[in-house]
Amino acid sequence: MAAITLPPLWGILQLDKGEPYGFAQIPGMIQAWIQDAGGFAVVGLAIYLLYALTVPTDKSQSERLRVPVSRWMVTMFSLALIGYAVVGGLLILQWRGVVSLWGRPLAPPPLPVPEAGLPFVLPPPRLHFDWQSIFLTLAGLFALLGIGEPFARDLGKIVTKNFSLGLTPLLRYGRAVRSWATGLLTARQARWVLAGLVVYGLIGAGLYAAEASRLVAIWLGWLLVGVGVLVGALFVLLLFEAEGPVWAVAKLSFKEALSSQMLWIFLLVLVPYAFRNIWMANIKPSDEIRALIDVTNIVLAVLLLVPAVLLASFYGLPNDIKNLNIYTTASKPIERFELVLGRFVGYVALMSLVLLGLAGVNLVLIENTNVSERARQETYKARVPVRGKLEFGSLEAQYRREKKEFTGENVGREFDYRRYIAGHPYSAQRAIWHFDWLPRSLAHVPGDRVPVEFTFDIYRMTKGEQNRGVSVNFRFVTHKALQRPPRPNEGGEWHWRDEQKEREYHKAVEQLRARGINPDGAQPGTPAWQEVNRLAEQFGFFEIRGKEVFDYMVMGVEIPAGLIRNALQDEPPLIKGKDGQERPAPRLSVYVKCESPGQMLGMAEPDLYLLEYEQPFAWNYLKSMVGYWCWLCIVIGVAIACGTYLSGVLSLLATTVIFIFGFFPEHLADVAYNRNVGGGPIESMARLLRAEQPTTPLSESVASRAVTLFDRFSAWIFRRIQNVIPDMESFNWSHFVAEGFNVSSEYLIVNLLTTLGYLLPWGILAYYLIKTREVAA
Amino acid sequence: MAQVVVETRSLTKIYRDFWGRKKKTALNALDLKIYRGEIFGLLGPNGSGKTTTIKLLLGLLFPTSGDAFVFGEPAANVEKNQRIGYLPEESYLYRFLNAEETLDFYGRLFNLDPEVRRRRAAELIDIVGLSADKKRILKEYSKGMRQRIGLAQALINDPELIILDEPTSGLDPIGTRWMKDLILDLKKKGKTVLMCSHRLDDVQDVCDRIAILYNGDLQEVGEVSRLLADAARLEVRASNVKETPQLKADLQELFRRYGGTLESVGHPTTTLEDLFLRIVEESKARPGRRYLPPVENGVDGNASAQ
Repeated sequence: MAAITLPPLWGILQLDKGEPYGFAQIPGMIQAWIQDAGGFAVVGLAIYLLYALTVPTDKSQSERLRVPVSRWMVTMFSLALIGYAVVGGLLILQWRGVVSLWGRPLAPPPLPVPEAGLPFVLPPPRLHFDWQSIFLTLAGLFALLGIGEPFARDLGKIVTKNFSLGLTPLLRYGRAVRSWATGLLTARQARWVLAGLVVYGLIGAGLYAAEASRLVAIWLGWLLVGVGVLVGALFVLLLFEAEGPVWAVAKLSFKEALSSQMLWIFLLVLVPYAFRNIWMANIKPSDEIRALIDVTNIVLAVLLLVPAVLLASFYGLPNDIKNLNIYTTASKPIERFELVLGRFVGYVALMSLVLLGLAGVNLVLIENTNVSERARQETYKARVPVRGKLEFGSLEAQYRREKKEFTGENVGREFDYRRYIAGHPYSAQRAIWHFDWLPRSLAHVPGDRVPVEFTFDIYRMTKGEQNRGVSVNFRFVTHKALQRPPRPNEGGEWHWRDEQKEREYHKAVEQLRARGINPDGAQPGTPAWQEVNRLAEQFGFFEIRGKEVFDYMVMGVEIPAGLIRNALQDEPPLIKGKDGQERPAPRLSVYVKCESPGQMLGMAEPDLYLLEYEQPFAWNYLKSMVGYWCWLCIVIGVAIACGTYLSGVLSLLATTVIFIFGFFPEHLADVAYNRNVGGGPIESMARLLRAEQPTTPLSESVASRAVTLFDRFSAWIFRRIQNVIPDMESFNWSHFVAEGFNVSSEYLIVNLLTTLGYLLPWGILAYYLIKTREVAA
Repeated sequence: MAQVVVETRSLTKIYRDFWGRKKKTALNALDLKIYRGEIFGLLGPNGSGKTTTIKLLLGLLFPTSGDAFVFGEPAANVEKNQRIGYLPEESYLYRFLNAEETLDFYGRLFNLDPEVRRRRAAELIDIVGLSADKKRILKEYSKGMRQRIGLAQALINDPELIILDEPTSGLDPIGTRWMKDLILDLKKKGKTVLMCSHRLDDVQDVCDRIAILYNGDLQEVGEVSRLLADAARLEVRASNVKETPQLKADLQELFRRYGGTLESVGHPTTTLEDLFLRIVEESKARPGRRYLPPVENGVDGNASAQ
């Protein structure tokens, strides 16, 4: 997914890092997590065991209790070490050229090497069953089980203590409301709030009297948001009224943040909202909502994350330790990790309310801003697309006198995201989308018409016709009408593999034409469409010729639902793929051909899709906030974990660095794999001192070899650091919302799981740091 | 034999820097026992290891060697804190909370039932004399008021052992007397009190036993009365007797007969604290009048002035 910090370059969803991770990637993600977290766990376990050796656990019962070393931990540590030793052995075998053992590969396949200049994109995670992956996973698992034992035991105690239902929910709620009234707001503050409400009511009455309908809508919307935040706040308070120290500390953090007044100062950032029309200046009408969403989301991110990280870094545990408040809290019968958890819950709860409020304010603004109709049509929806796999086809390699199959043309654009096909009536080049799966709901849609939307890039070799698009043919075929590329003497048209069926189809078309029905021009809802639909269902073939397509514009065609019914019938036959492997034919394929000479048509996989259905924009916008909530949890979690050991300033710095690095995973990957131009950090410095160009090769010398060696080591360090840096962009769904695409719940669940997986090791780290820290030293 | 509430065995604490180099031995092989129901004082100059001992008992610091037990449980066991109330030297409380909220918060850390929490908070606010200020946030409190609310938080769980670090710090003489009375009252209720102070008069007034620390080493431990008793001297007090040369000569003769020597004859002095309290009490009773000290023969100066 592309960076969203600026308005998107084109009006189409770009997935230049590939499709976001879904359920299919979860097993692979879990394996990768065990390996990564396990690596840190074994180091942590080793440090902990060494620490245990330095404290007098043999003589002191207190120290034995404080720094427990169980047989389980030692056993797990030993097993983990054995696992890593085996991995070391496997690496030696691999170095000696051994590829497999007992029929199983020794190591996972190497990472794909991207073409020069392209970003390094990690392939989606999947389960690996090679020896190295198996032993790395086992060793990591043992290390996690070892280091997690005291953590799990204490967490169990904490859960037991803090999750009891001693009072009925109603009673608790009543007390919560009372406590809100008496606890969180002083009488003076309550009076101010009341006065504010009265003023707000008067403003609303004034707007209504002035018949300013749009402003009244905004007024009402914000009122609803306010009520929503209030209900949320009452729910949060209800949560905080539960019995247990974690909730007490959470409530304390909540109050502390409110009393700090920092949040209120940050509200000044809201001022730019008043000038939102400026953001849309000099923007194409179709991009107005996109620009609006991008800018409001940037403001939202700033308003949300900066106070969150400041609160968690300065007002949390570092402040308690600095001000010595920890003396009175840590001397109570609570686990110290309860203080950490309480702080986390308190800040996350408060900032979640802020997020709820800001998201509501943004949504009201977006919904009520005067934008062009074109922008509304393109963006103001949440499309649920059915995507296919894109491949390019042309004459077979042997006929083109080339060694490899056609993979699309490169027109020399710097951003090599799209590939192109050449336009000409005799061109055999096609962009082909294959759909292996189709939802059954598409077979029976109202009007028997299924929308297909697309956005293509046009690269003009010649000027072409003024203010006209290019002519494009779309051919939709099911597994019952499989196509083959033309042979050299057959021109540019692709043909059916089953020639008999092709003849039958053409005959049927001729019969229709004889009845005065033109299949090319049939419009949905007409009797001709019914005939076309019947034909498509019978043959599994439908074609649209001469569709005028404009540059970077969301456009659409409609195909008969009968085609989908045909595609869903029977099991597809096995066909041989480009790699020579046999696999089931796709249920539906879309062949796109550019007819206009001298024009190149560019496309990437997400550029064409079947539209399954649309969801409301507002719901999609709110769903996208889950990604921001994950950001929130990550920054607060990391800041609090750092704060268990570091001072406020240092924990702020550490969190900020991790968060900002999270937006540049590709660059970090380049450094981690020694792929960046000009070499690693040491080589770069050497070049800087010698005033050498980054592209010139290093001279052969002992110094150069030493520099390369150091950089290899630094790359190894960076690969470890890479595992600590989360991919922040994977939580950002603004692009989906701005382009009018549904943010799938599947993506959001993966986001939440990733956040949990990321925070768990930080939680374990925080647990050990706070437990072994002398808070009164 | 009374039950041992606090016990340290060769408890040692050495502060080290980041690199593990020794900075200071704060406590050196401390062996101590504190029994149920007594008021025990830790005495010593600044840096003698009093507060370090308390922090070690509470688990806020970890021993370099040796062990500490409270109620028979190792100091690292947080469960033992359920029966302990702790007032730190400065009242390190959250300044954005008011008195009620403060006590509610600390009560929740003890997992006290909401009703018990509320009742105890109201009682304690009354006891420490902050009923009129219970809705004010602690930021607005004076040092003495913060010390009072600090004591209230230390008592919210009705502890069996109360640890007070410099309890009279920041209190005026009236507050100091009030605090000492409260400590004695706690003893009457069967509580054990461990207090540390370098205000010797406070310790002398309330403690049953004391330990004197110097530079981390235990110098002396025992009952206050025993430690302070001067067996080589005898004190005789009398009232309604006028100091004359004849009286002095007679007393000298009397003590010579018993093999002793008369060292001095004179009027005993009161403590400054008693004097101050008497003045304040008098001022309260007779606002606007200047205090006059009692004249000879026990007649009140104020009474004679009228």
